[in-house]
Amino acid sequence: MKLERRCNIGAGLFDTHTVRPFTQPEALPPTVQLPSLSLAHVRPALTAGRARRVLLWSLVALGFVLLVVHHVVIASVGKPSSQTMLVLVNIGVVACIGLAALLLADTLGSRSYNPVRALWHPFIAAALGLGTAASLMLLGGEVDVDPATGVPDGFGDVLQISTLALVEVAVALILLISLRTLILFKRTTGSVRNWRFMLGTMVAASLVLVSDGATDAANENWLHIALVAVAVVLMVLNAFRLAWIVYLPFRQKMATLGLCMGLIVFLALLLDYAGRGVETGSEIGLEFGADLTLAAIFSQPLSQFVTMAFGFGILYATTAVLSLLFHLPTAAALQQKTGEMEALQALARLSGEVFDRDKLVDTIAGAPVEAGVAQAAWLALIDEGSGSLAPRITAALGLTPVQIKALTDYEVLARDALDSGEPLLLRQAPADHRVRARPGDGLGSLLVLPLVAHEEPMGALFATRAVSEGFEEDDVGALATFAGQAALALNNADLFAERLERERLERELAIAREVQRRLLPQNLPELDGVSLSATSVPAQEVCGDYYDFVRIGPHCLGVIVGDVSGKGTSAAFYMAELKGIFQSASRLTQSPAELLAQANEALAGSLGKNAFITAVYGILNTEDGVFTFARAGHCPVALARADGTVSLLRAGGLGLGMDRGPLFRRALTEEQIQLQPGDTFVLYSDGLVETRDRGGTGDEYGYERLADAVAKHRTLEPKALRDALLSDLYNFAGHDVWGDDLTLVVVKWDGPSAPTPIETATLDADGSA
Amino acid sequence: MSSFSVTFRTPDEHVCVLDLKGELDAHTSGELEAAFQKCIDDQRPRIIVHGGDLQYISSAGLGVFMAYIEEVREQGGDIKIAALQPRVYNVFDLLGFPVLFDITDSEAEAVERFNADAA
Repeated sequence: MKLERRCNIGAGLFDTHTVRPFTQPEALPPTVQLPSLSLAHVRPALTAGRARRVLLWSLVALGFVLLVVHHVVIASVGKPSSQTMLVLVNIGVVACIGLAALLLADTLGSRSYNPVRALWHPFIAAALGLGTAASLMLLGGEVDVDPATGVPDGFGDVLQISTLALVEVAVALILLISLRTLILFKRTTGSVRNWRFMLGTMVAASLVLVSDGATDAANENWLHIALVAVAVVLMVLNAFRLAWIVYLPFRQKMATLGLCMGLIVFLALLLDYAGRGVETGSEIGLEFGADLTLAAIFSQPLSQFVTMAFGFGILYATTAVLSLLFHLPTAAALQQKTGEMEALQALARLSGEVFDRDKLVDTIAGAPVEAGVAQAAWLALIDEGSGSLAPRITAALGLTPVQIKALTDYEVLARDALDSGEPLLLRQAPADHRVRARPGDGLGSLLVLPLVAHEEPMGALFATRAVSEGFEEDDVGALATFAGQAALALNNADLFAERLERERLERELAIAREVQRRLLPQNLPELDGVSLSATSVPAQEVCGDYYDFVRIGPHCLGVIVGDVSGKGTSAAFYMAELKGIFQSASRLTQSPAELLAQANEALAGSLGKNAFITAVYGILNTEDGVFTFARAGHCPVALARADGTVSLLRAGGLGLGMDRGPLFRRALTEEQIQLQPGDTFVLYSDGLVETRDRGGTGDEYGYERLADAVAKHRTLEPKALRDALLSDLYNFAGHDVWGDDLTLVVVKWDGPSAPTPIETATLDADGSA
Repeated sequence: MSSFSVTFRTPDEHVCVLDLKGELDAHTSGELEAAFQKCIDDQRPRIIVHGGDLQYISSAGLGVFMAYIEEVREQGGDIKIAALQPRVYNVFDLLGFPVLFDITDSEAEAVERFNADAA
């Protein structure tokens, strides 16, 4: 039973330690720990848990004690045990080694990869083993064995042989487990297979000998010889798995070189002890299957396994030493190169995290020098804000911008590199027509790396070395990669800055909107005989529409609606100016035309050439119902009579700011309308009539629809009429996003002695009154 | 969304006809500005804006006329607006454009006016 399990496990010896973390002992129900489970489960199931490990180690120890007892019995009887007994004993030996291998692999194998540590363990183990063996020899003297039967003469000899066997097995197992991490570094399917085959044949070659006693000649067994031969071939294959050496820094290469050499010596000496003949102390040699060695007396399979393991250890250490010796001279160069590459990578990573453009630019320009690849470097970037496509030196290290300008035609170089999209390498910079430096100016070779992010040229990174031919292919490759990352980092920094700017603008606009909202009337005036409502919906954050009311004397109400051409911020400023003019001028004149003419003169100085304001201003006398108004290019006033007729009143006039001379006054006419009680007039901005039916025909709302809607709803109070007009507009347009600012003011004259109290004018939640 | 185009025509060596097509608003007014500027740069200040295919004009579009009229007149030329559709004409009219600009029914009429001005 034990033998079967050993065979199963042997196929995957030492390679399944990664399974361990996933199988905690308490996570496994007791039933899954049966030996009938698959290999992947067996080892963790066997080795997981401290108590179980202690138990298994005790089993190994017990096996060892029993073996010692067996040899003691033989020694006391004076003749070797029967064939059956021998097989049983050897199977016990193999089982114990297998169990010990599993336990050791579990303890040592799960460590992270490190070549020095991987060699340190077997080195120490071999040294300790050698020390133990040597002290045994010193203390116990020569081992006395019956040369004919291989039976030890006394208890002391048995102890000596057993301890030596134990030490050798331990060293062999630690050696194999440690070498495994090196051999399977950068593992492939093939390398794992070779390793397993090697272990398998080693175990098989040992198992063939289970029936052999101490004095049986192993070399008569042809199967055994064939297996050993296969194992040796596989050992040679595995001995050339040395990829880990290439990646070692110089000091570690030196350390591993020493460890390997020490390992070779220790293992050879241990083999020497193991293979040492008995009685005469004459050395039989290192041949496999040598007659009557100390280890063979203990157990032939053990001797075989240990010999092969040591042999492989020596072989592997030897190839490693040779390879290390070959690699030592290149180690310094490799280390420097690795250092440069790591520095560039670190800087590239760093530049991805820096959003401060100035700092980023300095980091990028300094990187080739900091990494030790170049002696001077500078960054020339295209500044889009300047409108010029010529790159400017933004940051430099090792040379000043003045020196750079004197020594190179960097603009042309940057342009050439950007045009080609490839790094531009001047191996002998002074010979190039774009470089003015002479030999001795410290500019022997020059590398120009184009910076392109998302197909947009950003500039170029320059790196120079004092010697000509100073940049190797891999330098160019590494710097080109760095330049690619640097360009993206710069691009990110720009986008980040743009986003910050946009957010700042959005905040400013939100403030502007709030300020502007306060420029519109917060409360509507309350006058006997008139009821009002008003609303203004901006198309953007801020708008150019304006409406306002002013009380003139006890009975008159002035009302203005204005619309600044264009939308947005500039419109909002003009709107604020219009409010100032209106608020002051409306107190000085009773004539709407005069007010608009004055407003035109006041605005003439500040309005841009292509800007104008349309406005309509009217004064309603609540006593006699006379409505006097003038129109400066604004939409006509819609007047709904109580009798059901609706007219659009269109007095002549130019927009404010369209003419700064007398033409404005000449074009402007003032009209007077006699209202009847219940008559309503509606003032609005062009955003109302120009609203499109986006879902359907694309038609404008237009004056006819407005007139129809006013006629239909004319009997409503101003607030209800306003809402009805807006909902009519919504129904027409099919959306509530306006292309233009939209303002609506409704005024109803109730008559000289209004029977009903004036509608309370309070602000709605949406800002309309 | 809204499409707009300006095309140049020079029926004779004195006038420059700009055919407007589509919707002239804040987004497209730059094209008309560029067209006016080109006429000024080419020393062809006698400009006829043919609005037969103009579907819509916003206040920003109207502002372009305001912005260039002074400079064109200083050069001895004028901007005359011809063949507007009634709805578009209404927008010009409300704003008082007929007071400031020659607005004619047809391009031929505008050319005649130029010739009359020159005479």
